Amino acid sequence: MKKYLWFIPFVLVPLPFLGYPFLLSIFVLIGIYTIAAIGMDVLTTWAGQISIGNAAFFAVGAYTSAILVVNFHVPFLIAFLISGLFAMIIGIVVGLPALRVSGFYLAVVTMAFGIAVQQIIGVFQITGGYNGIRNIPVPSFWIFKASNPVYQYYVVLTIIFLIFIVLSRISFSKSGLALFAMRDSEVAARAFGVNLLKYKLAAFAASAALTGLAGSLYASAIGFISPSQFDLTLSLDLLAMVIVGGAGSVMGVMIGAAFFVGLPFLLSGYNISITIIQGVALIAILLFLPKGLLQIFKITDLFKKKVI
Amino acid sequence: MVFQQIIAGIITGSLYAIVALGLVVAYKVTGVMNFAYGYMGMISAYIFFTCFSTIGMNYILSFFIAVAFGSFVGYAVERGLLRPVRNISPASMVIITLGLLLVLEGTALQIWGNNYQQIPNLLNGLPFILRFSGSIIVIPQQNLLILGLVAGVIVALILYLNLTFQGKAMRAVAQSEEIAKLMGINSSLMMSISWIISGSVGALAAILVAPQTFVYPDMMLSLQIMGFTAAVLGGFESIPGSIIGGISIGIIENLVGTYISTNLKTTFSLAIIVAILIVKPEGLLGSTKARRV
Repeated sequence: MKKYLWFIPFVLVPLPFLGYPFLLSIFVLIGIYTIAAIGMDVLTTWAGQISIGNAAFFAVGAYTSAILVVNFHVPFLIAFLISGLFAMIIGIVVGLPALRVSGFYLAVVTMAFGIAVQQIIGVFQITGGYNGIRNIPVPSFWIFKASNPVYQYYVVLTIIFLIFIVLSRISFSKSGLALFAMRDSEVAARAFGVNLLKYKLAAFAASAALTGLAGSLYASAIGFISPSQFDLTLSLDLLAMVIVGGAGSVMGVMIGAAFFVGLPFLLSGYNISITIIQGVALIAILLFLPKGLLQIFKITDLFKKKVI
Repeated sequence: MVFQQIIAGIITGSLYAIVALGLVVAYKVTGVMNFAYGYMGMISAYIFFTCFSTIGMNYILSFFIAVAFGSFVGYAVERGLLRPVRNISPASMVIITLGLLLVLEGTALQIWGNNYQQIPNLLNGLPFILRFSGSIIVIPQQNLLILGLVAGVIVALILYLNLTFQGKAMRAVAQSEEIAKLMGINSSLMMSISWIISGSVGALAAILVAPQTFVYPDMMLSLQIMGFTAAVLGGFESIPGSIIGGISIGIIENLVGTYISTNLKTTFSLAIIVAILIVKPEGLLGSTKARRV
């Protein structure tokens, strides 16, 4: 029970802001990016595979869900699940080159995939070309329609909570240990009988599925998608959220997403370019808190005696 | 028609090659994959624009000022930002250069605004026309200038690395920093020099491409992406590889754009490159390394 306690503040956060729908919609956005960044976390921190093309999975999820809901009037929940599944299939296909290439080469292969998907979406008719898709309805579950940002927030938070439970169970299971072994040394892992093919593809599949689900939620929450929203910057931002917040922890990733999504809104009133502050903050965090913002909350660790 | 496209491909490819070259030089010596590379060049293109159009200096003089500024940016970034965090993990290093990219982009926005600024070509004379067994090939003079400058830089760099003592020392640091240090090589000086070379090459690429793309904060984005791809295609550790990689990407892109699909030009080119990488994971001229287990 103790390991779920950190969730309580996140449950209580929207309560003081019930009268400010704009702020709440930013919280929703933070939650959605958290899900996508958890997908990135699973791939980079757990499996040790680098990817700077995860925006493509986000786009695949968003477009699948939007096309199903707008053009074919599929209920949101089914479209949501299908978009995760579809992104997962594509993730397995993208994961195949990872068996041959690694490191920077893999980074460029995934980057190529991300750019290609963005371009393909811009060309085809069913995706609305460069104009994108407008008027995507808000998430609804049978009779319950999450039109108010508060409802959306709790829907997203519930999904994050479910993901957290599943992930924390996997990380102590045989599969989790196999993934960690693969990250630390592929040769050693193979010597101990870890099937690299299976676990690399599984890592890509899980990452793509989570990112696709986040994309589906994003399309419904924002109501408008176009290819320019899913560019290389988004992929790099997802990686940055993981590193800045605290790799390997759902709470850390949440803080990273809050930092990335929330900062531009906090600073939007001033007459200084947001990107400068964002860049300086990124560099400063990595220089002074190399393990991410989560370190602030673990300040007591500094006074403990080091075991290793 | 095919020859015309191949010539055009070589010209675009030479720009990719020079960006890849700058990335590889910095990577080989300091081990940093610089995501802000194109944006460092972009600042130099703005410096050129300010010197030439705003102040009204001579074209050649502003060119040299901009390249010198590029080398200074390279030195400052390596010395001030990346040297203190050398031993950080690769993913964190990517994020630090991403932070640098954001800072550079924001600085350009803050100083020069979001407008598209124009830089004229240096050579605006009549294009050269070659008649070649029935087909006609048109080459604008500016493109010949690009080709000549890029070839000059490549030759100069290869001569420097292979013939001078300093170049040899730099290759030694690239192979093994510790052993180079034991042999009495000033490795920190070599790192600074490699970034100075990298920075000035990036500035050169930005100024050469500026008449076509205009000058704006994101002007180098596609060139940078293609430069990365070229470097990886060539093997990321090999200078001839990055040149071959860059030129072949330029040719592939132009041929695909003419004969397969204009809209999906980048997609098809990238697909071909990924296919090459799957067949030959270490790149065209890269070598597989024996590693300790």
